[in-house]
Amino acid sequence: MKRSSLVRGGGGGAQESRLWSLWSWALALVLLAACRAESEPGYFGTVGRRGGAPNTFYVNNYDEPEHLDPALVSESAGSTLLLELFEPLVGEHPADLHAIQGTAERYDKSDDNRSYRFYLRQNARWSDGRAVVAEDFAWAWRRVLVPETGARQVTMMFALKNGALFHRGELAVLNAEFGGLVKGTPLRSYERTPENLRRAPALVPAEATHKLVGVHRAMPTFTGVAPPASSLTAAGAAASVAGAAASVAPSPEPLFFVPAALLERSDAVLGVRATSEHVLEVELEQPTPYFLELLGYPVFYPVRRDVVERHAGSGEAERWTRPEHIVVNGPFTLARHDFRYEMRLEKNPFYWEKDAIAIERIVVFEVPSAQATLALYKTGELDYLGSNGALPTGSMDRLLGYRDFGRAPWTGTYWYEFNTERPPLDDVRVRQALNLALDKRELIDSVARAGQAPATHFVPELTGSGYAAQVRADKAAGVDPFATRLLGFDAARARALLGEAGFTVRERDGTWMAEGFPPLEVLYNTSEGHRAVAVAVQALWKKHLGVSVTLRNEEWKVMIKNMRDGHFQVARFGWVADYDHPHNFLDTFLSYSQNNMTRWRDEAFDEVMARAAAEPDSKRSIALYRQAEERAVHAMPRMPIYFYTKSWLIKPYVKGFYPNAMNKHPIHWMWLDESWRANPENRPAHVPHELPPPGSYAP
Amino acid sequence: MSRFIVRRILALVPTLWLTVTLVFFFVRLAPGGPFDGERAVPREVLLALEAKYHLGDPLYRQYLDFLADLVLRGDLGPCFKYPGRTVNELLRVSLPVSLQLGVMAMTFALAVGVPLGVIGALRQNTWADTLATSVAMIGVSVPRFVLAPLLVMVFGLQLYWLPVARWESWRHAILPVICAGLPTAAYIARLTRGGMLELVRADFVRTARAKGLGEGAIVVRHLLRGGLLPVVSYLGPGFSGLLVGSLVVETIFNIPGMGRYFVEAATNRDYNIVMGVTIVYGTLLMTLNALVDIAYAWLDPRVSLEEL
Amino acid sequence: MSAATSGESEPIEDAGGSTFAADAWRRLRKNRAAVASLAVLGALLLGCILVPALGSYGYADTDLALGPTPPSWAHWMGTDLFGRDLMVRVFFGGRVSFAVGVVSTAVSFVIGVTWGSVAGFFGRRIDAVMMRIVDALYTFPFLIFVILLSVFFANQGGLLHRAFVRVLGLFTARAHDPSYFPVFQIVFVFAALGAASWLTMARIVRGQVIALRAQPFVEAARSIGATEASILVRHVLPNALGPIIVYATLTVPEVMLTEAFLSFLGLGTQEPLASWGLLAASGAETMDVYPWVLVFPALMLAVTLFCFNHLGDGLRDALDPRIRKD
Repeated sequence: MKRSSLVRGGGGGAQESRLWSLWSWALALVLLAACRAESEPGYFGTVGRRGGAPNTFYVNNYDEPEHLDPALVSESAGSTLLLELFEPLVGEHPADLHAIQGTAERYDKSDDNRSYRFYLRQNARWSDGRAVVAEDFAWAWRRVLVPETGARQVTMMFALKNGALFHRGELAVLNAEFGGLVKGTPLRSYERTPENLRRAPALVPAEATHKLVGVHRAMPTFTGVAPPASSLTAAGAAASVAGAAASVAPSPEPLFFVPAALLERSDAVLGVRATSEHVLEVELEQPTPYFLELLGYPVFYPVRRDVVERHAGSGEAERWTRPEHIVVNGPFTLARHDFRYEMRLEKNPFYWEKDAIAIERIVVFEVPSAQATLALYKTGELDYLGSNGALPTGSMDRLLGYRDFGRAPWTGTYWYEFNTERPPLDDVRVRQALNLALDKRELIDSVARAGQAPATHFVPELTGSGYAAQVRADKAAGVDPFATRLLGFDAARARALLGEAGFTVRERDGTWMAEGFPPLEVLYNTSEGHRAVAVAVQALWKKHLGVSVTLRNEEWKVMIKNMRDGHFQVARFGWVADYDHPHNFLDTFLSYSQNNMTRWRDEAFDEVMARAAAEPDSKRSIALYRQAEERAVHAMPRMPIYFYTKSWLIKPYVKGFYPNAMNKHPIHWMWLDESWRANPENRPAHVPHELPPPGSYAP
Repeated sequence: MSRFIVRRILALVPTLWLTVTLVFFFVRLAPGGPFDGERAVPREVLLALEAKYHLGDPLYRQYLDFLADLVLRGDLGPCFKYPGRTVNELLRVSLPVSLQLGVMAMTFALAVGVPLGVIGALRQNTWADTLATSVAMIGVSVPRFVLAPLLVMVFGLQLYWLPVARWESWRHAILPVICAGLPTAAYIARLTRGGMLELVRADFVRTARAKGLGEGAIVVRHLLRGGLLPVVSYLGPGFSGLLVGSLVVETIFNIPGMGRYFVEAATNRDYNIVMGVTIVYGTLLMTLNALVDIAYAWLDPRVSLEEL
Repeated sequence: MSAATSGESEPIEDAGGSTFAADAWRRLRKNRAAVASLAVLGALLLGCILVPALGSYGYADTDLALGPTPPSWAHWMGTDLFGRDLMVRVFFGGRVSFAVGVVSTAVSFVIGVTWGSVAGFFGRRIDAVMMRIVDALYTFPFLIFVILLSVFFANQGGLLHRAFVRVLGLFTARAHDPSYFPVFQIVFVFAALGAASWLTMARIVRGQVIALRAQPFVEAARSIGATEASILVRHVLPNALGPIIVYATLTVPEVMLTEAFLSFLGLGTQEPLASWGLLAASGAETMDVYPWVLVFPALMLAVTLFCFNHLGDGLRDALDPRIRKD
């Protein structure tokens, strides 16, 4: 064998240069390719449909929905799809979300906003042809409240009279006559706390089998069960219930003991019932001003008892939502479901208004990657990106100018939470200083980059139910409690406040230093976007306040756990509206809310919130909510950063798409316009059926 | 031979058991639970969920139940994030896709890598060698997560030649298979070239050449058989590397394979999926390694199975 | 590292009288591609040491108002989304990538060569036991384990991190400073990747040793009374070096790529530290808008891996004792 090293030695340089020419060829190919684009000027993607079947709508859902069972859905991946599969009692107009007819054609309402009566349309059908009846709703709602169902959004159903009590298993009826109480008397059980035992006048029975109960007075008027008789004093020794007769008398009602065996869990006093096939009566705990908005949320959709129960015993109860089993009442049915890949929705042949639906079939991709989604849209494989995902931040600037790009404000707020028990954050002046020192405009322009609005408070300003109107009125009158001049970026005031709190901010060599201020740790969950904001916050606090910040990122589950346990100082969080009402945001500040991880507790706030929720006059109610929000803003347990926006891409030939604050874009309102070039006007696929004004209802 | 295979299968059991046990306790020791989320789960609902999945049971009880279900019924249990789906179902749907992608990518890697390596070794320091080495270099030097978007940009978004994502027709497979297979092809090319260069100078090859054997016969009979030994060694880890590497490719091209569960199940605290993925992956690896050993013995007459 | 340079064995003399190592070095020097690669690697390494130290920007200095800008005189490689100077970040990231690649490979080299050669050479029961262990560890899905470990225990405040903080606490009072967390993450990556990649090395070495063991020259050495250990170290290992070196040079880029892979998953190097993998992964996100954020780190990574491969080639030829026999 020849010695080859010499040969190789000579060849090295040539080898290298050949390599470079290869590289440059590759580069040339890329550049050549870059010159060829198939899209029409002005549009990001192609405007011709590529291989799409006619009247088939291609959309991305980003994620696999965790559930398709309306009771269990808690994330947008599921609720977006359920918009097509189920029809709620009351619908929403695609353009501005005002209430329109759903399965209900009209409704009555009591003056105190606590009682409703809905009249269902006669021709509403399930996808197997059976009529949709009021009991389908009533049963579905009761099901949500049963803990074993596992509904995470169960608290929404607490709007119903006695909903919370029923959920916690504190409601029962007597299944036999006892101590002078008739069979079927609704009772509420209590824990044996010393305080409650004091309210039980006589003996405490030794038997652990007895339950401490009280006669439940707060029952809905339509239960038909008479208030307890006055003969309770004649009760046996085991249940000394003196005074229970005065059940109409002032609270707290007296308590007594009943053998547990006589108690039966009951929904008799739950505020929903079907009084006939097509009439549903509802009684609410409080004059919930946003009740009609709530009805659009999946937990309020009807489900078929027979279909659900057929699978309940099988050990895999959730199987009823498989395409071969599911029965729905909406415009589309689930025809095919390739897990974590694709779903096919076909028009429901029994839907009462099927002829008005223009789209015959929806193909739902489940592509999680934002980049791949953009690519699929660009090449014409998607008609609309889908409402459920976000565009990549980095691509925003590039997309801005295109005609198929759109953006609208969205009811969500991005905020940082302070652990108000950890010094120095236990000082409200420190929290206020941190807020004032954050130049939110700069943060948005440099890292958030989606045209968000800097937030000085927590409830997005376009929130419905009268909130947006109040904001406008306050601004016009110059009395906006959250005006930028009061709460916006003001570095000098921030430094002064920090000084008051004992940390003098001095200038040294052109940079600020907060003397004695310990370094803060900002916690965020692992994600490019959150990291970007955290880096910006770090830089801005340093620049204007001289506060040094370290960053800590944790994976979502770990972060949530640490926040709940209080192992954090400052943490990234936010809230997106489930229903269009300020309550949705503000109840996370309640001292007893499980979603309040700031450890900020304010009785006055809780009290104003309670008054707001109990206020039947919606305008006064909103004013109270604003008052509560003002308290929260001044205590600053959370630092609002910006109000969300939603950006999207949709092909110009899709009509019936409307930007709206809740980012709800039902496809059954859309249609594909062949002649979109000649015909620029936009309208929904069919005319929405307006709800007539509510009739009066006096239960 | 059959004794060897039986022994290998028996060896699989304790290793798998160890893996299963370790992972089982690992995932449960980690902070956070499967039902922690943005909106706090009401207490009653959480209790009901934990009761349903027996997460409230003592740990040893959960462990024994899991083992019993696994051994007696091959049941990996339910998936927490997607109730109503069992882990078995998840794997039944996703594993074939991953295997398909893996086999296609490996075929591609061998089909590209071995010839490149052979050319490189036989035509050492010629134009052909440079070309072969360059292709291998690109494969080795560019991470899949850079290569994939680049290919998508050129062939999907600019030229409109190939689909940019999803798993439908053979055309959808082209870019993912290239992305997944190219790094492996590059390794194989280098190993082949290295292995063959060893032998090109070996005595028995010179003897063969002296005996007047044709170049083609030498390559096939002597060089390829021996020169591929390092490649064969690499096939086991190479294939499993492909499966893990396909995590990137599956993510970028949205291919509904198993790769996504590697990280996702862990971050979701979806205990049973973590177990399922580990078991499948472990079994696959062990089997492949056994196969590689057998192939090794077949290729290299100097090695007998007795010694393995 | 090689048998020829280890202390206990006598250098193999060749006809010209020069030592094996010197001879190899002489041959390597004649291989221009390898020398060029070595030079480029050296220059890169120097850059990684000097640029972050001498540059006028810090690797974590943000300039939000500036944002991402293309290469300019002020910023030769441009700036990233936060207005950080990309050049400083790229060279700083190079330190991390080099360290991860070299340290982890060295770990895998030492363990793998020792393990594989002992198992392959002594065969029989020793081999069976040792390779069963390798098999067991192989079946142990290491990458899954690395992923699980980093998700569950290598997170901030996780089990491994707490242990690290305790150890660090012996040396510095500031052990609890969260800015040490990225350092921990890198140490974790070292350990994990090193531990994960020695197995293949062991298998390859063993395969080579088994093949060589049956060669006549081993029998010849044995017949003249050489001890088993010296046969392994002096005769078998040097002959097996070619594939070992090839694999080791392939391990460096492989480890660098695995680090990049982990960074892509968000489990590797953490901000504000950088590695080429992390920089390329985040650059790939915005490659259509800010291509330079991808191009520079990806190019550095590619060039480095390219050079390592060339160097590996050169080393293989230089170290191959059979060339010398001619």
